[in-house]
Parts: sequence; structure tokens; C-alpha cells
Amino acid sequence: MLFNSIEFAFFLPLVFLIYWAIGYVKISDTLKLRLQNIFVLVASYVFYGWWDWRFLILIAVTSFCSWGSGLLIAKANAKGKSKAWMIANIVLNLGILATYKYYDFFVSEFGQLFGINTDSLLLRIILPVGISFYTFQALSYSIDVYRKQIEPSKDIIAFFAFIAFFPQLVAGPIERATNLLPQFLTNRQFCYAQSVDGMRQILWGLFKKIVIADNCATYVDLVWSSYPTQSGSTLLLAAIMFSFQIYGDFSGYSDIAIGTAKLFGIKLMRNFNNPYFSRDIAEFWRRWHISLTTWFRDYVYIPLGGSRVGKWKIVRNTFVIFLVSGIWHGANWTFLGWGTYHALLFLPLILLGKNRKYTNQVAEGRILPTWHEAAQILVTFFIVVTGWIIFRAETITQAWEYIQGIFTRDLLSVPHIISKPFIIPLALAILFMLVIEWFNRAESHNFAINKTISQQWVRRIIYIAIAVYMIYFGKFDYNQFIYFQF
Amino acid sequence: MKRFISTICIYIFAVLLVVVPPEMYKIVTDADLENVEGGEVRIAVKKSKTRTNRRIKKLILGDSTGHALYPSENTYDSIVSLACNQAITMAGQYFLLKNYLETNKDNLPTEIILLFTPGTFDNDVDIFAYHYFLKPFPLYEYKSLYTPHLNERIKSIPFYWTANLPFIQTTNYTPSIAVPTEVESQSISELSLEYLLKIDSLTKQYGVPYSIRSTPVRDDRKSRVEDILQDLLNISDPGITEKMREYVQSVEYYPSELFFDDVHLSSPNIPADYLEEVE
Repeated sequence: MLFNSIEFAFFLPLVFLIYWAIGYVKISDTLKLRLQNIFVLVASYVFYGWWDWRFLILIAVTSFCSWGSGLLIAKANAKGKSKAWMIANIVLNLGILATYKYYDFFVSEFGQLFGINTDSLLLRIILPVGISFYTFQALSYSIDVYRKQIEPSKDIIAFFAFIAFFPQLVAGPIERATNLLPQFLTNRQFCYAQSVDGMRQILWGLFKKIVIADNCATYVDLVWSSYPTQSGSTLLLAAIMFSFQIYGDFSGYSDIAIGTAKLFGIKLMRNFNNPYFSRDIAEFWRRWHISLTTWFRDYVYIPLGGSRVGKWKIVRNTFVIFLVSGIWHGANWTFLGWGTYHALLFLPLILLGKNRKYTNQVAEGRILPTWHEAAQILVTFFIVVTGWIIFRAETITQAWEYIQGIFTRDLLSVPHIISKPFIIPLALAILFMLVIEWFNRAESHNFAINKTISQQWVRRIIYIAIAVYMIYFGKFDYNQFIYFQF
Repeated sequence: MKRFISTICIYIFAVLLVVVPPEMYKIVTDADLENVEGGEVRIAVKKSKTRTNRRIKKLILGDSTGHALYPSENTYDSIVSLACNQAITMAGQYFLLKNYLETNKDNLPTEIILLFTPGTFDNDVDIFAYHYFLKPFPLYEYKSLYTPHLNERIKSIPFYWTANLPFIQTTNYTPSIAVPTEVESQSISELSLEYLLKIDSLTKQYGVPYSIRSTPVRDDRKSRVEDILQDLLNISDPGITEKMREYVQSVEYYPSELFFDDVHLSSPNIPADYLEEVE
């Protein structure tokens, strides 16, 4: 089920009402909690099964094995034994992920390399939606139990609900057991302010998805389908549009997920923190897909020694983390190319010790950035845009041709814009998004306008205007979220 | 909890208040109407109510096969074409003719030609009538011209009364429920018969001769078409027996390669000799 579908428009209010109705039943708190968790689990499985019920088996297997491994890790007397259980769980989960996501790619690439026909060896199976997200969530649990950062959960229902919690099941944020699991083990109370804030965030997420991402997608798809014949300026505009598409799509999804979770009294971690206002690439990576980057930092980078090792190991660790991050997005050389590109940009900063130069918000305490900061933001943005070209391309050659096309075919001409009635509302929407997010950059999320706009009537007008704008200029037939495929 | 639900309801209501009224009361322009499916019908209705100043020899009405030969969107020197499609039923053809003759009573055409493929006569109001008949021929304007049979058939269309709401007019919406049929399929429906007789009287009233001609037919459909033609020849109503006989005689078969489907000619393949005969 998609967040921007009619089904979800009925599903969410229904689940919300039943969930809190359980909270009003006069039974013990323990029973109430258990019933709510069972209901969340059933609703989550319906949400996921709406797409293809057969893959529920995979989630159930992942959940059960991770839950069981947690108990076995804690029960094991010797450290070696507990480590073995943790590794067993990692191997199992990564094995499932590798089979579904990477097997065909590596087999066919291996075949090509050695001139072997591998057609009969290919599995050609559908990639289950969101498999990378829930697998990583399950992995973090067993590692955290092994590291004694969390007690193993004995409550199987709460654990299954933690893995399958529908708002973040298919595209994150990738939650840590240390944050989410305890919330399924304690009673939840309906909170008006939190729910209103959740609705605010849902509205903003839908705006970014339906108005910005899906309209940008129309333009981007059009240009990419005929990129060899497009002018340099059109290619550049499409590359910029794709940057807003992927941001609107993914951060929009995260906003809807976090907002929806708030309606159920659950707090999820922040996934985006104004990445396009970053002043250098290191800052960008602290602000983009935070739940994944921190996952790799905590479970891959730091165990490898992080930056507290010799220079060559820093180089190795940086490449490992970016290549793994690239391949996480899919089995294609373009993702590896994208990871390598960012590793090369990141490396000088970390070697010079400047990777943590910008840890605060840009223009802190000021309304506007300085000229220097504005230039830094712009340069970083265009570096990221170039990376997105590699990410969006189907092959490395295509990415190279696209970048070449920008600089060799009338870069200074007027780009093709489809039509004014298409481009003007879209440009206004992007501008509006940037303004709102700029003024809310220090808040807990980008549409916390209750903190930045004190007049309630102004806020009300903004809410209604956004909803009306979505109805008139939103695209309701471009449904798929980009990050579902990961 | 109650406060939260009522707040959400108020916002939804406020958004609807902003969005729905302009949609409901927005002025429906010709462009809005012509951009929906079957825009040729809207154009034909508009043309039927427009005065023609030049001398018109032939007025052409017809179904989509007639429209393929003489599109209602085109302008001709001495011809006016109101040919659009079969879904408007014979009643729709009658309304178009009546509009045109009333509007141009001082500049009547020399002849009226109705161009139909043999299968057109069986329409007795079907699922397409909601969009192609009720929307372009609004009830409030044409109901007085309904026969009791047409009235009954229209009432069998689910939500027929919604077709003329402005915000429905500008969409392709049609209720996805089948219109119940009362009779088995036959070569000429009761509705077609009724309104052919009305067309006959109307042309006599204005003193304009008319003919019903067949559009070109695929030669590989000959056996099926011959059955229909036999039925048409059996019509015993004195008003149109002769016209039906002439219609059957006008049927000409052409190689199937000239057609892009069962009944429609591809535009580059329209036989010149056929057009010469009509004109």
C-alpha cells in the first residue's frame, strides 16, 4: 500500500481509530498494550501484504530469527557462543538480502567477465519491497543485543511489531531497536499536540511527494528518455529537477512515515536534516538519509576503526563505507560509481581533519546566510547534483554521456520546459519548499511552523493553501516511491 | 481525541469549501466541453445551433463512420457536416437536425444526407448514452422532444440526472453500471425507428429532401451485413420503407485493407468515387 493511495486514505483513519479505541477499553494496561501491539502487527502485515502477501513470509522469518537470536545471544554463557549466534543471524539475514537483491547481478557480471553463459543460473525473482530497510533494522537488533546495548525482547509480538511497524516498514527510517523497541513495550497515551504535529508532517510529506517529486519526475523521465538529443541547458535543468525529485520523494516519504508514527504515539528518528543547505559534502552526508548513514557508521565504519587509525586505513574505511552505501541502493555499477564519487569527495576532508567543520545549522541565529555560505551551499548542491546523474543513469556510460552533453550542447540556451502551466506551479512549489525549510531548519522537522509562525490564523491558511495546491497541481498518477526499490 | 478528530474534520471541510464551489460553479467553456471524450458531438451540437451564411447544398449527419468521411470539426464550401458518432442514438441525430433547420430556416440546405454503417440502427440507448447523449443533449433542453420509449430508456441509466451537473459535464465520468436492455439485439431498435420517422416528418415539414446512405462496408463482413440489410428491408412502416430500400441499395463493399477496424475507413484510403457520389 502506498502512502499516496486511496487505499491508504481509508486504511490510516480506520487503523488510527481502532488503535486508540483499544486504549479506551476498560482492561488492564498490560492487556491494552498487548492488544495494541497485536493490532499494529496485523495492520502492518495488511499494509505490506496489500502489495504481495507472499513476501510476508520473509518478514516473518527475518523477525523470528532475529528475535530468537537475541534470546540465544543473551543466554549464551561464553562470549564466543553469543558471537556465533549474532553472526548466524547476520549471515541468515544478509543471505536472504543477497539472494533477492544481488545474486542475479553478480552471477551475470561474473559470467560476462569470464565469458560464461549464466542464463540458466539466474533466479529472476522479484525484489521484495523494502527488504533492505527491515533487514538492516533486524540486524541492528542482534548486534545491539550482543553489544549489550539493549536487553533481548521476550515479547515476540512487540518485537514483530517493531520490525514490521507499517509507517517505516518499506522505506525507513531504519530504526534502531534501542529507540523503537522500548516504545512497543510501554503504554502509549494519545497526545493531541503530538498528533497535530504528526498531521502537519504528513501534509508536508505529501506536498513534497505529490507536488514536487512526482511533477519533477514527469520532466526528468522525459529528458532522460531522449537525453542524447537534448540541449545542455535542458540536461542541467533535468539533473537539478532530479535532485528535487529524489529529495521530495524520499524525505517526503520519511515525513509521512514519522508523522504517521506520531499519530500512534511512536517517535521515529529524523531521516533528513536540510541536506541541500549543506556547506560541504561531509555535512551533506550528516544530513541525508541519516538513519542509513548512522547505521553504516555504527555497524561498519567504527568497527573497522573509523578515523582513529592510520591514513591508509582511513582511506580504506572511507571507500568501504561509501561503496557499501552505494551497493545498498541496488545491484548496479552506477550505484557503486555514485558511492566512489562521494568517497573521492569525502576523502580530502577526512584526511585534512575537516570533515566535522560544519556540525551546526547554517546561518545559525541569522535570517539569511552570508555570501560565503550561500556560495558554499550552491557549490555543494551542484556537486551533489552531479552525483545524482550517476545515480539516476542506467549505466556508467550513460551517466558520462549525460554529463558530457551538459557541457557540449548549448549549455547557455533556453531549456525545454514542456509548458508554462507545468513549470511555473512546479517552480513556485520548489521555491515555497525551500523557503519553508530554510526558516524551519533549526526545528525538529521542516514543517514545524507552529514554532516559527506564531499567528494561528496564518498557519491555518498555509495548511489549507498547501492542501488546495496539492489538489490542483499534485500528480496523482505517478505513484511509486523511488526508495521502495531499495 | 475528540478535539483532534474534530480539528481534522474542520480542515477537511475548509479545503473542500475552497475546492468544490469553484469546480461546481465554474463557467463551462466550449474548450472544456470539447476536450472531453467525444468532443466531436459537442462541436456538432454547437454547429447545429449556428447560423450559416453561405449557400449550403448538403447537410450531412451520421455516425462515426460518417464522421470519418466528413468530420464535424471541418468546414466545407457547400457542405455542413454534423456527423459525429453512433452513441448519440437516432434521437441525437434528430435533435441535431431539428436545431439546424430551426436556426437556418431561411437558408435551408438543398439536401440532407444521413450516413450510417448498417450496424448503427440497433442502438436503443446503451452504456455510452450517459456520456455521449445525456451530456451534450441536456435533459432540461431536450426532454420535451423525448418519446415515452426514450424517456423510459434514459431513466434506466444509473444516475442519469447527474449528467448535466457542470463538474460532470467537463469530465469523462460515466457510471460503470451496465444499462439494462429490454430486448434482444435487433437490426433496428424501437428508438431508431421512432426517430427515423420523426426525421422523415421534420424534413417534410421544412420541404428538404433527404436520403439515408450507407458508408463503405468491408467486403469480408458481407454475410453479416446482408442479414442486417434483410431485416431493414422487412420494415413495414410506410413512412420509411422506401428510404430503407434506398439505403440497402446504397451499400457498397470495399477491400478490407482500406479499413483500420471493422467499420472505419483509414483517412488516406477514403474512396474518391464514394465522396463524388455523396457530393
